[in-house]
Amino acid sequence: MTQPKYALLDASMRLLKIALALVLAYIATPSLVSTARAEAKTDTPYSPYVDRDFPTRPFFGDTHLHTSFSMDAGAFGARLSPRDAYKFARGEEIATSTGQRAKLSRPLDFLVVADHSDGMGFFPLLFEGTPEVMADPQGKIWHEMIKSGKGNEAGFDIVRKFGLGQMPKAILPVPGTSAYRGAWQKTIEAAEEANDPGTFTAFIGFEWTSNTGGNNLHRNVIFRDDGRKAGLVEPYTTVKPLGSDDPKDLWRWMAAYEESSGGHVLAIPHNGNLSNGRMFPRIDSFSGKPIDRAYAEQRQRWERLYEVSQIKGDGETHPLLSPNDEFADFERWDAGNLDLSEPKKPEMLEFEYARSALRSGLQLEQELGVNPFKFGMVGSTDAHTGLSGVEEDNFFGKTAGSEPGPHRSSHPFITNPQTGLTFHGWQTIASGYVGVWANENTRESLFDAMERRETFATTGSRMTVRFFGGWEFDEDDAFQPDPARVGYESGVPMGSDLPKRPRGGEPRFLVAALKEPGGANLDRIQIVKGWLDDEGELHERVYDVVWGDADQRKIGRDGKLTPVGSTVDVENATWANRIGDPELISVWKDPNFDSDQSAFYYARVLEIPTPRWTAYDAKRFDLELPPEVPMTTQDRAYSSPIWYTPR
Amino acid sequence: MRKFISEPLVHFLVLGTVIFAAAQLVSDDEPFAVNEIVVGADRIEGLATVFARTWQRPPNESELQGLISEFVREEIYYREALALGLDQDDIIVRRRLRQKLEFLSEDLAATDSAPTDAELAAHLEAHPDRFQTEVRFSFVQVPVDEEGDPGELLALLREAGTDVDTSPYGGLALLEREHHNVSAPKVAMQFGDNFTARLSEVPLGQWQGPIPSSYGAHLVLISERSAAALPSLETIRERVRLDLADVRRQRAAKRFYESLRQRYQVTVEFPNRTSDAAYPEAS
Repeated sequence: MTQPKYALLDASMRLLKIALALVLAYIATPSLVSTARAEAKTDTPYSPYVDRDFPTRPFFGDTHLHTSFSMDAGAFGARLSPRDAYKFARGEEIATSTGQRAKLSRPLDFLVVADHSDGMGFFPLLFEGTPEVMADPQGKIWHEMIKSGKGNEAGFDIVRKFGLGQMPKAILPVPGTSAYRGAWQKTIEAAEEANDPGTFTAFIGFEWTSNTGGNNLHRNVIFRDDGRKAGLVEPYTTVKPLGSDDPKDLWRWMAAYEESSGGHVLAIPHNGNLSNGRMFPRIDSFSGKPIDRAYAEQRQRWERLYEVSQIKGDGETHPLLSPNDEFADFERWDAGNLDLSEPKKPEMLEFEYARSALRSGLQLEQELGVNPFKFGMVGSTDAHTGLSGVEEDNFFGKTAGSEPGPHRSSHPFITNPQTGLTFHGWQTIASGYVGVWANENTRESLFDAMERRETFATTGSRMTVRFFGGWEFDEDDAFQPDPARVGYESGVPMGSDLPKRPRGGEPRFLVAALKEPGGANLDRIQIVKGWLDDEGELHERVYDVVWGDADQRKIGRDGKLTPVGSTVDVENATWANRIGDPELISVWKDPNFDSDQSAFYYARVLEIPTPRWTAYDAKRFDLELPPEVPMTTQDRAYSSPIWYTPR
Repeated sequence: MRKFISEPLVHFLVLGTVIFAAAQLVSDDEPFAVNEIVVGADRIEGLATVFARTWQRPPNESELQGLISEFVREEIYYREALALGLDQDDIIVRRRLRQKLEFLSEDLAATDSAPTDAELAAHLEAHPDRFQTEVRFSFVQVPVDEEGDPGELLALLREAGTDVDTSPYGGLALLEREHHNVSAPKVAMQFGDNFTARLSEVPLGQWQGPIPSSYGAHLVLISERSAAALPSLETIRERVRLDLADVRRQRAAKRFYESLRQRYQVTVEFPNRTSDAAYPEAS
């Protein structure tokens, strides 16, 4: 019985000696050290999941939500605060401004409350007992009442004296003092409380609403930082002398913030469709001069994303800009600018839509040396209700007045008596969200992913979209059990530049999509290509790459794929996943590649038709809606582009 | 001409002229009494501070001049607008003022003394549902055809045991196979509530299924499943504090409104109704 024990001991001793020898050798011999290191490098862990440092699932969120803190939202009747907004986004049930019970189908992963600021604060000052307060007899009394637990009485007394005009002047809060807290400070507090790294991210942000002449040049500004840094500044406004309606001044403010705080901010423009030719300019509407290199550099530095879809219309492209794209006519708002004071002219369109801006960016890059419009895609709601709720069957509308109710689809949404133009209530669309390929659900990780444009926009559903570009993908890569691993190893993700071209070859793209959990199947994946030819002319083309029901659908002589069909029962607002596929994957190579021509590529994913929110409303409220109201929709996703630049 | 007459600006101008003329008639003052605006040192300091908080540097001389003249302009418009009663019956002004008072009362609640440990513990005990840790799962899933019979694959996987490489089997490559220590809500976010409920029932350590989900059906191997528990106050003090603060804030807001409400006698005078159907809905 003792024999094996000794043997074991013996064996251990031997191992120990070997280890010791190895350690000594390791210390003694420099050459051995490097060998050992080289070995360690190739000696990767057995488990393929150990060092997987790429994002494995997209985080879905909304970068653009207003609450009652926004002046206009409050006026529209919004009652919910940023705190309520975060609760709803986290999946909790809440009561809406019109008193309805509301809940998301599934929580979002993150939210940016983007309100305006200013407000007042007095009690913190009083509570603190600042010297000014204590020097005033009345201030001292109130302070002591609060300290001794009689806060409520003190409060009423203060409110009463307010009303009687008997407030001691010496302790009235002066705007600008550190104790003057406003909506901005409350916004920050709400974000700080709701932010739960790893589970839910609450970004600090605000909207800068440049709207001169009713032309929408709005931007949302998002902080990577916590309240300690974001609280150092007041949000930038559009009103002189402190603010400005010129985006170049916003960028200056952003630079000043980063420099003084060491923090990071980004800006996302939206609703080019309501800018009347000003969102993606060639002539700067503020200086009247052609945009220059400095403009291009600044825009590229601060605005790496564009909000391509939201409740006030989808902005991918327009039928007049993309006549050969059979899906170009999707939820367009093209009657005029934001207040409809100026009707739309066709020549404005190319400066308003994402795809034409991506194209124009290629040209500007050639002229200026920098592409000002090299942006990734996000979708968001821009709801003014505190509710980020844009699911077709759970749409909580644009304003408190357009929360679910029998009249919201028939009421005009914006109407201008001077021009006689109207945006109708039914034209608001249940859109959108953004998917972010971040490693973790934290402010830092999500922000960094947004900065590298690893994002995709959706028109409200939450499908997963993968899009990788490279030179080496082959068809088998579409059948890998983990396509993302191949994607990152042999290519670059959405939002990137294609790596340097090896000798010869054309770019290849690994593209994949998975339907939203519990959502509609997928109709098809398309790749949209835009390019600049040798004559300096811009082109675009849409390729059908992979589609559902592939055994029954083919690309016909006219170049069009057989439509997927529809299972929608409008009257009952139902549909079935009898058509389409839950997942689509393919590798596509550009058949018309010219290595001397710069180009961009992005993926567009279409769901099968489902009932539009108007159909759910019609069913629920028993409505007869006029024939121009669309009752079905094909929700879709747009990936950020991948760019090719000749070298 | 009709269009001209219906212009709001025309209304405004006509009305303004009438009010002005009326004011001239009844007033004994000089035609243009000079009002005084004093831009004191406090105010200038305030303007400069706001500028510095926006731009992270103090304003220079000309910027400060700009701020002051803009302030003066605003003050004049503000006073004139008030004198004309433009703040009356303006929905934006009303709601803004309401919001300011709400902020005020919220700030008041925030000054309540910090909750004691006993209060926090009581709050935790009273609302275990809000603070319970979530059930967590570690599992592997293999998507299978909803309509097909996965019996063969299930037998094969059971045979192969818990270490099997599942990559050759099943569909949906974009859906992650291995899920490590994931909370029930997160599983539900991806796979749906019914799937998550089934994960709580089926035995551990052996391939099970098919289990239906938001994607279709899956064979599932659960390796770990932790139960829900109520954490100690020490570990979640901040969460409890925030939740209690929220509750108190709401309570204070309610109390505040109620005590204001007590000071008002409200009479609602409906116009003469012909029938109850005159107000079919409140919207």
